[in-house]
Amino acid sequence: MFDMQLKAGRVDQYARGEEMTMVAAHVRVLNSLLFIRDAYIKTLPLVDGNGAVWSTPSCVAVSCMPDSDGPTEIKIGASSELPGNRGKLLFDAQLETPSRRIIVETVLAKNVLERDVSNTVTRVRIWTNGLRDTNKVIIVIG
Amino acid sequence: MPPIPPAAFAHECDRFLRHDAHRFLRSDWRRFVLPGSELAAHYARIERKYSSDQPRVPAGSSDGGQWTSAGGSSGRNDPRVLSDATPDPIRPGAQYAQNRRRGGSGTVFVNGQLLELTPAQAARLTVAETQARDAVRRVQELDPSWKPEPSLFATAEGYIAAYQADAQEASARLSELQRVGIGPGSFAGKSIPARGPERDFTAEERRAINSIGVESGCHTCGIKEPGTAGGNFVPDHQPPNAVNPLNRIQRLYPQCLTCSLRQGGWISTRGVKK
Repeated sequence: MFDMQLKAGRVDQYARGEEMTMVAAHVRVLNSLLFIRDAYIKTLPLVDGNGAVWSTPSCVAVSCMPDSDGPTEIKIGASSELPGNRGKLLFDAQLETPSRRIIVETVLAKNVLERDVSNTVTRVRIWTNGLRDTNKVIIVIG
Repeated sequence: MPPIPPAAFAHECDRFLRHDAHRFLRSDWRRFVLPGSELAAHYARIERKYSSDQPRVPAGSSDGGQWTSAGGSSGRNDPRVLSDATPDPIRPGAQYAQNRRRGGSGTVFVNGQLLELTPAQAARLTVAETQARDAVRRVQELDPSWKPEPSLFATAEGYIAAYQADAQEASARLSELQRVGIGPGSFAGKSIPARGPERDFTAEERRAINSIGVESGCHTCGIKEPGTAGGNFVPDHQPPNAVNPLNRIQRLYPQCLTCSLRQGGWISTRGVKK
């Protein structure tokens, strides 16, 4: 019965009690800019270059290491898998996720990572090493 | 010295007179010239030579554009008659011609009518058109989808003003693009040739870009502090890869982290895909 509901999309893996695993990617990020947003709403924030994070209700932009200086390590996962040495909390807010999917993409709209979420509003926290050209971005969902 | 016969004098005047001499006559010249004098007759002849109300032979015939006498099918009742008369005022919601002229014709098709340009207007129009076309082309090299706002005009002066407005709008757009790092910025100094759109910079290229950055600063904002932990400037392709579909030759300029982020923000909101 539960499997049928899962297949029909009435419940998801979180209702089933499954934990999503934290996934990682090492990417040379063009223009040092990553967008974390709902998969179907593309309301990007105005990036004025000052600071390290910019956001709209459905999207957050984070600065990271320039591609010419090397790759940035990007991790996305659940709070239960947070590493011990997290760094500095840069962003903690609710994002609108009506598509129930969060993607991480570059300025050229290339998907780097993506994760399913259970609700249409999702708490997103982002940790970095505290620098604007951080080489580590940890995104925690929920 | 024998007197010059009046007919010969008139002929000589016509030979050495500017074709646009009427433009040098004040409209109130009669206030200053003795009536019946030789000068008055001469001025009157010049004035008669040009009359904006005089009808012309319509285009399409062998002597199209030539002055003609009133009456007949070539008269003012002919809808094809060319005239400097002010056309009907612009009506809100009405459809108007917006295709501008091509080439150096002395007439323009505006609001369903052919308007004759004075030589001065034609010259100003040519200059305004050239400047506008050049400015728009420079913007479209960086932002291909950009177009100046369409405008309505009903007179020759409005036509010229529309081109001047286009040039100003394009110039403002170019400045706006430079501020977000699209196109070499106003602080651009030296640059080095890019090997291609690839971003696998060599150590020598990094050194050269850092050296230029220390000397002239970020090409977009002029700041000499790159803002990165490693103290390296970001090598910036100009024109940027994202707005270089024609693979024009690129050069590398030093850019600070702040301007690089701002450039990325602009590129992402434009929805440019590689």
